[in-house]
Amino acid sequence: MAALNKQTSRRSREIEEPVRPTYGIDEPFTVLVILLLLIGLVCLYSASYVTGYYDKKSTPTTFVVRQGIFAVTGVIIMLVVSRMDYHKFHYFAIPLMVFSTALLASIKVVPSVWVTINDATRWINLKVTTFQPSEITKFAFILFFSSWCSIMGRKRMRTLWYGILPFGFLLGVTAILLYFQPHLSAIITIAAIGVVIIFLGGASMFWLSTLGIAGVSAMIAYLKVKPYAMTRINVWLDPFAYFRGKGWQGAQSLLTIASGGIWGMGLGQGRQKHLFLPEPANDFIFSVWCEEMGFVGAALILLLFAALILRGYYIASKAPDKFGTLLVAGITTQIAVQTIFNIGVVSGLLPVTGAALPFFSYGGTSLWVLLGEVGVVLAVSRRRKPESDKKRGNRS
Amino acid sequence: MQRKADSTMRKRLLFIAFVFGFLCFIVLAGRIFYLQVFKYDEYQQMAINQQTRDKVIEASRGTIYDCNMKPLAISLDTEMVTLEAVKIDSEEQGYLIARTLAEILDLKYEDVLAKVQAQSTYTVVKRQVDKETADKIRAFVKENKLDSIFMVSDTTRYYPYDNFLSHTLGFVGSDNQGLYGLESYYDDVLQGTDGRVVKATNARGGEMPFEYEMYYDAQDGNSLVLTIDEVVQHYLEKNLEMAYKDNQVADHVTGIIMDVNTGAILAMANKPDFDLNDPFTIVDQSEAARIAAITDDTERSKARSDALTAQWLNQAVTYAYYPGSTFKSITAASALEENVVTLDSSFYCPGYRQVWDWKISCWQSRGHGTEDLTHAIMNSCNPAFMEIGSRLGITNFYKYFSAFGLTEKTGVDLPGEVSGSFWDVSKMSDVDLAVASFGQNFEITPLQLITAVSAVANGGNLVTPHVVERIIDQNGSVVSEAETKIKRQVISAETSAVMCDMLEKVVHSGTGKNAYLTGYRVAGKTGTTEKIAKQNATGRNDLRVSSFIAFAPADDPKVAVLVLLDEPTVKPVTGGLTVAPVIRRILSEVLPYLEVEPVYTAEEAKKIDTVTPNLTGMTYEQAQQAAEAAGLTIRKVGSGDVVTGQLPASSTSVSRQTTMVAYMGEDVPVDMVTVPNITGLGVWHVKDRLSKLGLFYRSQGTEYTTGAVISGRQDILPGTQVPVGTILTVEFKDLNQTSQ
Repeated sequence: MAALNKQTSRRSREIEEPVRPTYGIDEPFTVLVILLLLIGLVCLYSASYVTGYYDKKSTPTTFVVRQGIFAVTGVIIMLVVSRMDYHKFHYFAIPLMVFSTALLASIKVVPSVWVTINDATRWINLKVTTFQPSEITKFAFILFFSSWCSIMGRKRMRTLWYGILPFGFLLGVTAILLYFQPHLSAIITIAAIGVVIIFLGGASMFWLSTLGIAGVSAMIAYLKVKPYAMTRINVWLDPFAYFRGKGWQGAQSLLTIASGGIWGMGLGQGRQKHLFLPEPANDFIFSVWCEEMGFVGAALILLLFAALILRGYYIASKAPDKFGTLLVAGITTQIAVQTIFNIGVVSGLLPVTGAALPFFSYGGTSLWVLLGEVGVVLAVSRRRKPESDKKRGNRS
Repeated sequence: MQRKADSTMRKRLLFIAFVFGFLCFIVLAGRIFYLQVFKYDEYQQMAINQQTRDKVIEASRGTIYDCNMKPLAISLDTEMVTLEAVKIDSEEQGYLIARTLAEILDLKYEDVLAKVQAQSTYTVVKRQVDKETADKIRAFVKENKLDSIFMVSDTTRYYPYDNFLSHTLGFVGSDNQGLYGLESYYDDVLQGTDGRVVKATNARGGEMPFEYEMYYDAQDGNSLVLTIDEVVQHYLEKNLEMAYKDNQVADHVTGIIMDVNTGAILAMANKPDFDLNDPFTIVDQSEAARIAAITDDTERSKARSDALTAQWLNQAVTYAYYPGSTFKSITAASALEENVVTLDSSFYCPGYRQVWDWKISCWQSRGHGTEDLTHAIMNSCNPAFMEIGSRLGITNFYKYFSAFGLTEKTGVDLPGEVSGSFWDVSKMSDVDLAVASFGQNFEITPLQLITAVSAVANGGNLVTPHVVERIIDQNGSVVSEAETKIKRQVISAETSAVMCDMLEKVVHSGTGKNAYLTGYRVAGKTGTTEKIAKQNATGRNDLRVSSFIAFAPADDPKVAVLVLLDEPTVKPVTGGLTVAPVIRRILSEVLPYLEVEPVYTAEEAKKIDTVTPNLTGMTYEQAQQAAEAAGLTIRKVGSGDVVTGQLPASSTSVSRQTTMVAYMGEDVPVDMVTVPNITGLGVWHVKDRLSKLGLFYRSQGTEYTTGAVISGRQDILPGTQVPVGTILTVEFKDLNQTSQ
């Protein structure tokens, strides 16, 4: 923090930069988001009505109506945020990091407000709804390190002291706090986002490699200390061997996806969601889509996500300044990592951890956060360089 | 100053975009493609397997009827209590369910709790629950609003007459699978085909909200109509039970009644028997106690299962024994057919016969002297039959032995049939032949014997015995019908007629005299054999199998009866004394039921019971005439002019030896008298003892022969108080008939 304070003068100079003229929000990115959001809602309805049907406390439409309300309000949030001057977000970098860390730490201070589902304490109860503080942490990291890297400049970022250690320190603290929940996928997502930002921000490959080695060593040590984690690896490698136990989720997901074949069973016709597949409206929503829409439908979604992500990085490359680039790249990376993580898990490429699929998985507040982040991307896209600069951006 | 993205940042951004926006997605798409295309068949099949559930719709098992469509084995509709344990809401509810089900269904709490706590979607808690119990469970389910307990229709086999026909009918296991007897032999016919409902189900075993259901109808089982006649079977069982108790039989008794012409079995029973509704209880209490006392668990359960298996065996077809002298009927028929003897052949019995260095004795050690063939069989003379056997020779003897079907199973439609054992003919010695001639040292089953003797009786045809007359479907239409299967003609009709005549004489005035039934021409042959193997093993010498094979009427044989007592212990234990009366009792009930009209010879007419006339109002002279006309004598009490009362009352069936009492003006006494023990007395003693008390009797059996005739059974037990004038039924038997 001390290092950060020394930079105050420089930072304020950047913030006081004259506001560039704005253009319209990036249309392809917006269209892709809306498309994914709509398809996500349709998919959620198909995936969740069964759960609603069997659950005595809800009706088949309970989940999709709630999610729809969050989607509509989320889009409003997105549009509102897109009209903001993203440079002002510099101010929130530190407070948000402090706030999110404090939220995570509250699990040890006021555990009573936290909610435990399936042995994981990841949610804070807001009476009307629940939300995951780790969603805020993700954005806090994006904002903080985008800000940090853009202020530090290339030379400092190449050093261990400025380039690696702050991130290592904050990631360490966050990881410990998330470990209490526990929430491995959030740790990995945050680490991935952070690494991408400092990587783009100019951190030296040597120190990044060192960080990578340290991370891998930590993982190996973790596997050695926690034998249960090793079982998890074995279950991942052959879920059918643990069919009636730990392998149930993974195995059912594979059966679900494969059952779709090339053309799928038809929208709403999936069978595996009938209590075989766990969390059909959440972590395993993509499996339901695969079963019902087949490879054709799955490929379509993959294409849309890939397009969205590529467009995100394109917007990043066109951002008027480093901060904008890193901000958009960080958010895009978050969407990319979560998507890849989720689909990797449901298709058995990665071990099962609780990772939601952006725009698809049921969860109101995380959708709000996500659409808010999309709003940030759009806000940056409004200030992209004029058309004449486009070629240069593309070449590099 | 703006800090725009520098070139390093651009390069790195391109790299990141390539990895996250392209590379990773190619890998993901490849993986999804692999799963949906290459793993499609395998995984989809696994998915379908877990998504569909077969539910069996149990076919109703067919009924077993007797020949008059009286149901002997039926299927009752019951219910099955099943549990979907995954739907139990809480642990407390689980305890409540386990406790209540255990109580209502009379199960062990621990067992039910284990089923409750297993996370299963379908468990059978108990099968074959009656409606009353099922209603209690339904009430419990309703009261607690449970969705985890379901009642499914089920059937239970029920035998309305418990022990009746037990060995022949057999029984089913808990899954309605035929285990023994006809239930087992005709299992495929009775069982029907279970139906199936294939339904798409969710992971809790519940139905999916969409239609995916295939229904295969259950095909109910067909029913059996037996040749067994419930009435005839009842007569057989009643008399076997009596014989079993009277003779304190240590092992078992077997009886078969068969239509000699068709091979239809009218009755078949063994005693002791067992309750078809409770087959797993050991009937023999001392045996049960002995088994319960075994401490070693495996030994005890083995002993128990051995005892049960023995209890369930239908000895009529599964037990081979030495037929003994009953077999002389076969030897004689073979010899007559082969023309090695004729009715005029003469035999000499010095009381033994020397075969090589063996001196084989006759049952009557003083010998029978010179006798013709008829007397040889009437006397059941062993030396004469050894001679007959040697005249036949081993080859011919065996030829007829096999022709009579004794080397093969009869082919009856009952499970577990055996075919006995005989010598290897090539190694058979003259001594073997000699003893075989009178039925020793080889084994056949009771059913083999009665089938062979039926061939002797029916004109020479060896038929295939059968128990099922026809198979009908649920609507009563005939699916298949048994036909009389004649395997071969073994002897000529002439030989058969001669044999019938000779065997009738055995009963009329030979060793089978105690089977004599007035009015019915009963033919038969006695048999008594030693259980040599068991005697050798136990060191005893008094173990016998007494038997009697009979058929009637001799001039037109209809039914054959075989009764066998294995180890009777009330001496003497010969077939002529212990079994012949049983045969007579059975035939005396069965023949009238089968509407075989009695035909009395002039000699018999004098012996049959008569009906008392009404003497009231007659003078004594008139009464005397009336009594004489009825074949009775009369005496008077009192000095009035006309008869005012009489004993026995009018229209009562009494023995012709009865002396009626005419009361001339005096009151008929109404005192109660005590029935005396008249067992073992001669005919005149019986009459004397009874008339002194004012009692009368009706006789059964061989009352009128000279010699050692004594009373056997009396129908009213000694010590019973009866009014004066009561008529007892007394059974006489001829003590001379102690032959083998």
